[in-house]
Amino acid sequence: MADKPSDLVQGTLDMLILKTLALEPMHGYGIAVRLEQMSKGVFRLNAGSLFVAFQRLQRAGLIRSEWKATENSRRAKYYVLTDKGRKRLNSETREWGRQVAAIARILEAS
Amino acid sequence: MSLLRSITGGLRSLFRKEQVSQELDEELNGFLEMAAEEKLKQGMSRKDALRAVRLEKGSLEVTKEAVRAAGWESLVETCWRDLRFAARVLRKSPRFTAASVLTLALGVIGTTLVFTAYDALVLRTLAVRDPKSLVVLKRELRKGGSSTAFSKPEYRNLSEHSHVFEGAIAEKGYDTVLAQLPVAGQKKLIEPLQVIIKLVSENYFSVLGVNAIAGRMFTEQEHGGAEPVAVLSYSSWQRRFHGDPAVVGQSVLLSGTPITIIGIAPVDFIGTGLPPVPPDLWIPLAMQTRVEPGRDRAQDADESRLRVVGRLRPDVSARQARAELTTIAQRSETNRGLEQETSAIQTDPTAYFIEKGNPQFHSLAALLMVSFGMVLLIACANLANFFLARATARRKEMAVRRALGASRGRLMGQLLTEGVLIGLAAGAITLIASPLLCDFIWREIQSRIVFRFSDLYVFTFRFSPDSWVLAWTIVVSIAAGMLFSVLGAAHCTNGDSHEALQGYVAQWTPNRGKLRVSARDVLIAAQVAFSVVLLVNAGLVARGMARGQRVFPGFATGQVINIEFADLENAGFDRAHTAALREQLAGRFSALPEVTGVAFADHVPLLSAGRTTVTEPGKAKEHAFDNQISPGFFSLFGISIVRGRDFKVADAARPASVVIITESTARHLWPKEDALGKIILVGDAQTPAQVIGVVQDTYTVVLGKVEPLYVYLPAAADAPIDDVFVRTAGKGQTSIGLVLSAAAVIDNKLASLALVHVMDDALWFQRLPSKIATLFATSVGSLGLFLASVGIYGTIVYAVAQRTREIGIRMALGAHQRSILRLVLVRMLRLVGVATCIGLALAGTLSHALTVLPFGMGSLLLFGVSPWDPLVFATVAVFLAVIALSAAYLPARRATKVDPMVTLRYE
Repeated sequence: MADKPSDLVQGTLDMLILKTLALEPMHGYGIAVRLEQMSKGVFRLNAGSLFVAFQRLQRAGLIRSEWKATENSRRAKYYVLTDKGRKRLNSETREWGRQVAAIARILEAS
Repeated sequence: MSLLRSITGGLRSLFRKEQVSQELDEELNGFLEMAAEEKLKQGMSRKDALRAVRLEKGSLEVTKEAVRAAGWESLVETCWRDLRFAARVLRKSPRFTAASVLTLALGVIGTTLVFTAYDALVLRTLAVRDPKSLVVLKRELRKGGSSTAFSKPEYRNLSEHSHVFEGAIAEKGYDTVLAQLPVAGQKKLIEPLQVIIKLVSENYFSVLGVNAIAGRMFTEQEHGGAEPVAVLSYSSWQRRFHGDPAVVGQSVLLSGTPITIIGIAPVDFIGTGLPPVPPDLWIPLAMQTRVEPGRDRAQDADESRLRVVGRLRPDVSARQARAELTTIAQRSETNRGLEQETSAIQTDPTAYFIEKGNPQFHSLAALLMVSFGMVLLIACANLANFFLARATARRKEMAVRRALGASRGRLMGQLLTEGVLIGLAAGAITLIASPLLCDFIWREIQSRIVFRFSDLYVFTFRFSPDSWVLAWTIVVSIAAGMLFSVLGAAHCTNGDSHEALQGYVAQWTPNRGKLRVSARDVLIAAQVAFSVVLLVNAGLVARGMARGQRVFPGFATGQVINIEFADLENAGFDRAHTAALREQLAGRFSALPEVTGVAFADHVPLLSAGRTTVTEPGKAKEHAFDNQISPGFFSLFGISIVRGRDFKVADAARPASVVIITESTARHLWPKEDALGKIILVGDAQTPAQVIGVVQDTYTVVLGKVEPLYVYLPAAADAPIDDVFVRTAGKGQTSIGLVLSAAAVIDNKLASLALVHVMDDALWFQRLPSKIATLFATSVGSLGLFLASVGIYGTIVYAVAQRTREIGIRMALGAHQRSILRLVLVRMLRLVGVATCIGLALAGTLSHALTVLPFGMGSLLLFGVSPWDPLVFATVAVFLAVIALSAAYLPARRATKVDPMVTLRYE
């Protein structure tokens, strides 16, 4: 499992990106690294799906972007969670919790 | 909000492509660098690090492509690129493009014209408030037939005692009166001239909901007679007063009575009558006696001259209204002690031009739609063939592109785009051409038909496609383009691309059992069959019409002048002096040079006919036509008296006692006996009359049809003078001038009251429907002929040219040119022959159906030409066979001339 990164459940990538950004604004690479670290290497992200997700979230108004200098004084595009994005994250987290609990109940039954 | 952002984001990447792509590049490069730095820290070399990142995270280019393709704007870009590519491809084959666009445009223009005409004639509603709730009352009579004429007491009765109307109006037919109009800026009035007026109930404009564009409309409060008022129509305002607004409040003299113009009607208000001819003036009904001095016609219960239009209350259904109105009408007849005449009161919808219930019109409309629909079908068949042929030619190109990695969907998309482009081009042509064409047609009709009789009646008629029709043409064009390109696309992208790459050619399997039928064959056959149906029917109608133009009425029209007097009584000619006036007119006219005869009648043959009934004593009453004539009528028109004698002057003194009948009438009433001396009862009064003469049959009511019952009665000496006929050896216009000045000698007013035309005009009028039908049949026919020849020729040439290589191979293997030509021609002949036979059978069935069409429409159109007329059928069949064979022969011959080595090397 650790060697072969698993595919994300459809639609969860957006939620994870929002969660990552909830802490602080971050650039693309940072987000990728953070996701890998937090998932302990379970999720390895392909740059293609990541950047498509950025564009999608940006157009949905959940995040916005700005160019800033990194700690290594490199120019990078930082993504910032918007108010709308924060709200969406909250509602999706709740919904996710509900679903996971429900699935767990079903799996534990019998 | 997010939709807006998505749109702006997309637009940004579309129009600021460079900047967006640069930003993406920079961001991704940064991403790569950061990832690589991480690896460097772990001790990898820079090159290895970059490679590892690429492996792990995917290649940069792929990522960029993925991001770009994720937005909606990428679809737009693809479409735009397809469109440009399609335009380039179409430009490279101009013949195909021109043929397809033109074919499609011609087909669509045809249907556009029909739709526009239908829209203008049938769908257009009156320019009044809520025209749908207006109904015209129609009385159905017990003795058969129906009428929309009511008397004033009946109108009052119906509108006051019924509860189904919000309001009901009455209008009299057009009246011609002498008017003296004011001249702009001057005190004096101009010379008297004829104007047309319409007497309407005082509530006319308020019930219709029409407001004046200047001044005001008259209302129920208008007192009849106290202050006579009139409303001017827009067209009259423009024509007679040059749109001078000062005319409101001015006074005109109508039959000597001063009447004030109080308002001007809006431009699109043409009244409620059919046809759409606005009168010069609308005048309250109560003022009838003032503008038509003499009898109080409007009040007279015996004078049924009013058309009644009611506005139904929204909560009342047409059926309820009919039931209630019928009861009221019947009760009133009983109360007045009359015989029950009304069997029902119907409510018909009002219309701008044609009453929707008119079945004769509907069959004509159906005929038109079917014909132009057929033209469109032929155009579509052409298009399908063009696209299929092209698709076959491009199989190889498509195979190459598929081999290079294009998906089938992309290829189909591109071909579809070509179809859309062709549709767009055809739509654009239609959009520009159809309004111009409509305008041209309307001008032609106006100049040839409407103004021929009198410039008093001005048709107000808009014949131009509205935005709905135009939108429809675009949709149809594009849909057709798409449909046929998909058909072609499916054909050229399916199948084994390997085969296509190798230049596989479908082979004929001649004379080997069954005939193999391909989709292409079916298309050619359908095209031929449709063309046959259309051409045969157009040919039949054209032939019938040509015959119709040569039918003569059986009496002289060329040298006869008809002088029609508008209501002489109203113009001050006392009825008591009619007999004297009659003699004066006859004397003056006979004295003119070159005049050989003068006669009077109350109907003009071919233009009008009286209706009466004829009863043979002891038998049932029958409907008949009549005309009241003076002695000399028959000799003037050159109608020979077969038996008995003409009327004498003395007969006019006891007019009801003698009658002259036509030969058909004699045959109809007394098939085996001599009619002379027999007694018949004429009219509702059942006056007995003795047959004193039998005259030759003529076409007096409808050209080409002999009426079974037609009787001539002697005109009473003091009967009002309607029509005077003068036969002269002189030329038309000079004679008309002489006649008018002779009338002016008796009384100056007579010349201005007279409407003069030569009897040839009546004949012209009778031939008008067949003229219009000829115009239509020839235009549909030539359109169909053009499309069919282009289509069939093009398709067959192409189908045979496709076999060039096969023919070359056969030649190389030693086949004779002659046998190959025979092979090609026999096959084509068989295909076209079968299709022609099917087409001929269909055409015969259709034309046969034409003759049994209701109301004699078909026989009117065909004028006695057989629906199986061999000449037309043979011509069409031979014509199509010649086209098909020459189309097959030329390319086949060319193919046999090709050097076999060339074909073989190619193979």
